Amino acid sequence: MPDTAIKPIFRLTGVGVDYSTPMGTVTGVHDVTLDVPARGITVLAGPSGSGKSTLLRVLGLFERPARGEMLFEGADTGKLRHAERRALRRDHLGLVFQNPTDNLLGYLTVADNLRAAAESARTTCLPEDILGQLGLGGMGSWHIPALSGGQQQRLAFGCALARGSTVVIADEPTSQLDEASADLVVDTLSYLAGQEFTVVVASHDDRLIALGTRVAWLRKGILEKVEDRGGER
Amino acid sequence: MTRVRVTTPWRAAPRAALSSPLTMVVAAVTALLACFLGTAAVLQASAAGGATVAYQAALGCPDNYGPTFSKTRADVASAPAAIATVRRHAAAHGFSAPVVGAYTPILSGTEFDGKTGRYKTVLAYRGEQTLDQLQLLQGTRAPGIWMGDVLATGEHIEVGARGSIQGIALPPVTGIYRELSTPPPRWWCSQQSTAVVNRLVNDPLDSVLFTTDQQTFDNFIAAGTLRNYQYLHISFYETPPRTLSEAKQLVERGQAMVADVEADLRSQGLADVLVSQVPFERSAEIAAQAQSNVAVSILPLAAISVLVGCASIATVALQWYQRRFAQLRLLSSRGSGPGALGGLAIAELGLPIVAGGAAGAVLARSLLGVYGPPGDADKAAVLLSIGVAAAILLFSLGLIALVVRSRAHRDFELGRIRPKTGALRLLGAFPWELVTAGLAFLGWSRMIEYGAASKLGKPLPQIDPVALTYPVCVVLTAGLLAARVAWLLLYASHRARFWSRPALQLAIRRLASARAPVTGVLVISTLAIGTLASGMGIGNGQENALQEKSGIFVGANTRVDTENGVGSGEPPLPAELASTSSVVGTTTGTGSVVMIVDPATFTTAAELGRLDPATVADLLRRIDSRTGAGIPAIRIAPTTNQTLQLPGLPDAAPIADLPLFPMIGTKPGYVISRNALTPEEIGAVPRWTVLSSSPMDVVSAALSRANLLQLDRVNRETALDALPFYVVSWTFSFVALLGAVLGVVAILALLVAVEVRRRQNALAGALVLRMGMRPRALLGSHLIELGALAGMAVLAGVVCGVSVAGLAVPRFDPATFLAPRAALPDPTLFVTGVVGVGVLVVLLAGWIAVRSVRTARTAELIRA
Repeated sequence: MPDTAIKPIFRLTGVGVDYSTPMGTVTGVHDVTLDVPARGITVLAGPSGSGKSTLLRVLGLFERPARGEMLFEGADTGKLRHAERRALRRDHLGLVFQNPTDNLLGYLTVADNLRAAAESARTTCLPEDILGQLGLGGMGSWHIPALSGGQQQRLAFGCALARGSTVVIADEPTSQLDEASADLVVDTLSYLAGQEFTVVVASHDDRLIALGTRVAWLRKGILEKVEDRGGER
Repeated sequence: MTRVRVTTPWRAAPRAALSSPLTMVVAAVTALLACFLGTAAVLQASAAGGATVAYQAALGCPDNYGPTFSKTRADVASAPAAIATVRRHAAAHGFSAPVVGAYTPILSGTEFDGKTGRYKTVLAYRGEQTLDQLQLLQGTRAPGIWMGDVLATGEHIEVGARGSIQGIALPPVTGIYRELSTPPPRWWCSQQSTAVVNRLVNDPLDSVLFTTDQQTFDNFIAAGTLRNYQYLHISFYETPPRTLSEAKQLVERGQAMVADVEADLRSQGLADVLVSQVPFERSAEIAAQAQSNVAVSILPLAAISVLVGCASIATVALQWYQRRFAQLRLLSSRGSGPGALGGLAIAELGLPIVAGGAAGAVLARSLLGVYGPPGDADKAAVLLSIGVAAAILLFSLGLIALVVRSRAHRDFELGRIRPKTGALRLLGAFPWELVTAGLAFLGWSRMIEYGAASKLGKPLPQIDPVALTYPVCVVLTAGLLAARVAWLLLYASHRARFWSRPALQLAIRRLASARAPVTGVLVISTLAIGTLASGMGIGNGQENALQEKSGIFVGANTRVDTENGVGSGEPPLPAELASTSSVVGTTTGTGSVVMIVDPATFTTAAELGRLDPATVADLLRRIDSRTGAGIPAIRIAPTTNQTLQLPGLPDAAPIADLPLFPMIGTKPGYVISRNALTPEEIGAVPRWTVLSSSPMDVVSAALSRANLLQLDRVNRETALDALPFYVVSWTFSFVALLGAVLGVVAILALLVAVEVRRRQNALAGALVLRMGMRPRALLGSHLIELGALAGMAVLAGVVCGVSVAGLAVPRFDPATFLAPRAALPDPTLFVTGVVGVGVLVVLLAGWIAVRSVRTARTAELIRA
């Protein structure tokens, strides 16, 4: 039964995802029913292989569920054409992948990465303002390899800011980082949540789980429980 | 209308491409090879037409490329009007000034300085260039007549002599020229029957008197009562056409002019004054047929080669997609569609592909003289080839966009809902080798009748393109079979347990883990070696067959039948021919051709073809003298009903058999030594021939100077129509070219595959070295892996290619009625070369693989 206490931006009902393998079809996610509120940080938590990333792919519109339906702001994404799904991604979603270098265009400078991100959403940005917000001020002319992993990951969130995304979806954003860098990312996520973004994170990092306003626990593709931790932050 | 927005990643793509130079190089080389082959196919066919035109032009007379107008016993009174008509229309149709040749009938009663001789002359004029084309021995170019040196010397007629013919005064003799002999200089080719005194076969004519100018000739004609020229000939010395379109254009202009001239002459009531024709018309038809034959024959090969090129381009696109996957996923997450991502691929790879393709087209054009027929390609063909290269480039770019688009659509839009792959699996499982084998069988059945077409007296065999695809279909079948076997073996390779030989076991596992690229490289390598072997084998086989057949047919480089006295040694051969020539006699009458040779000179003069010179020399020594009953003889092509009887001679005593012999060919015959015959027996031989390794003009000039009769002349260049051989050779030279290009593709694919796997090799290599494997064993493991792949390709390719060429060469023989039958050239050098290149490539690839282990950085290994 969908949770209706908080206004959801995503509403998943009975969503299931199957994999084709040489041994036959394997179910990766079993009939998940979940609301993702429009405010706060929703964390998909669970051990490796629990289906977090798969569910995140569904939310990022990279995956079409084999069963069930997913509504985004009330619209059934399963009934949208490819172009409409792309438009949703372009206008609303900002995805951050696990590996910091996968989130940036390595041959552009820091500022150009922000500009390119804004361009992709058909908007413009002021790179130095965003970099200042993220604690990366003065690095606009730097090349990406000159940044640390943590800085790269923060810049990836900066790209979401530059694009004006309303939803930030991050897949294990701290897993490739050392302790100090991971702290910077946690700070960034807190900052984004404070800026009225919808943040969805898949992680088994305790710091991130602690950060979540709603935590959905997954195990073996099954949604075991959903914890609500006090609404908006 | 939606405006396409070019955002930063797309604008920066060409610069981003520099981050992976290997991909750029591979893309450029792939496009280069695809465009090279596509362009080369068009140019090859056109150059075949050009080569045929050049061949025909060289065989024909230089004034036979345009129209000719001639008439024996042409009416003198009507001639000026007819000539003027031709001259007028020539200018209108873009021809140069016509060259008019006019010859009087043989005029008896010629006298000079009051000395009446019994000689007969012809007065002639052959345009303004006449004097330039004669060798002046005495005198000047002053108005008058030039007399041949034989008559002038014989009758003691000097420069300045004045004469008359049948009482009509002749202008003075102003020059003595060297009399034209057969064969005359090329300029006189069409006038050979009228301008040359063939006194050695009792020509009734004594000399052709050429007037130095038209006016002198016309004055003489006007002064006399001559009503008919013996021969009137009007022609044009045009630049020989070099391409088929030039030839066609020349013929069309000639035909148009002939039509206009005939109509004009009819309107003047002179319809019968001249007979017109366009002699090069047939040559142009033959050239068109040759071009069409080659084009049709290489069309399937060109299609295959372009398909291989496209498959390579698609592979490049896939490799780029994998390399750029993270970036593409990022852009897709930001809303970019698969089409836009395909555009990004073009933005990155477009420049190297266009540059490579352009380079390929330029290379194909500039190297045409190296790989193609010895002829020029039409301008239209050059334009078409540029169009083909552009089409291949456009298709390649489209293919790249399509591949990336479809992969991006699958990965970023469909997710795990994939389209049904049943059809694709069916395509993979379908036994394509049975289809190609069926086509090969069809080609074989057509090829059996291939040679028969040349017996019909046609200038070219009726090429059946299906027959010509036989070798390629067989090679394709072998390649597909090898791929099928390799695929199945690798599929089942997990059952192999050779851990006691870790190098071998690792090699098997590496091969199995890269089943698709291994199979791809194997197919391309097998195809490359097979097509190279069959292309070179069949092409060279036909070239060799032409050389051997013409050599055996003529007997030497030059053959001239001469007077019987030469056979007896009196008069002897001219000294300048002594070291290169031999005199042989022939006689028939008992069912065998009997050839009387001089063992001392025969082997240096004769063309022995595939006969071993040492063996022939030894046999000739053994028949050099009569030791017992009968005449020692070498029996040629013995048959069961061949008797020992020799015409007018004692019976033959065969000492050995040979399958064929110069001049005799494979007809039953005997070769005997002149030293074994008595002078009387030699004197009874009816036909004596000079065989020489010297060119015809040298032999002919020497015999002329010695006043020796030349009854019949043949040389190797003109003895046989070479076109049927050349057409097959030109077709298969393209097959060889395709094989060479595929070979380059296979080598590059192998090296790139090894380089692409650098990190995996480094990680796996570092691990096994830490587990105790010695570096030498690791290198051995890589060499086993690469050697097995190369060895299988070499084995399948060589066996298949050489076998198919061996079967096909005799079948493609366009002159089976002439010995010897076309045969596969010795493949030892080719096989050695292929094995050598294979070993080098394996060593290089092995070194690259092991080098990556040694140079791998720790961080890189950890990341891997």
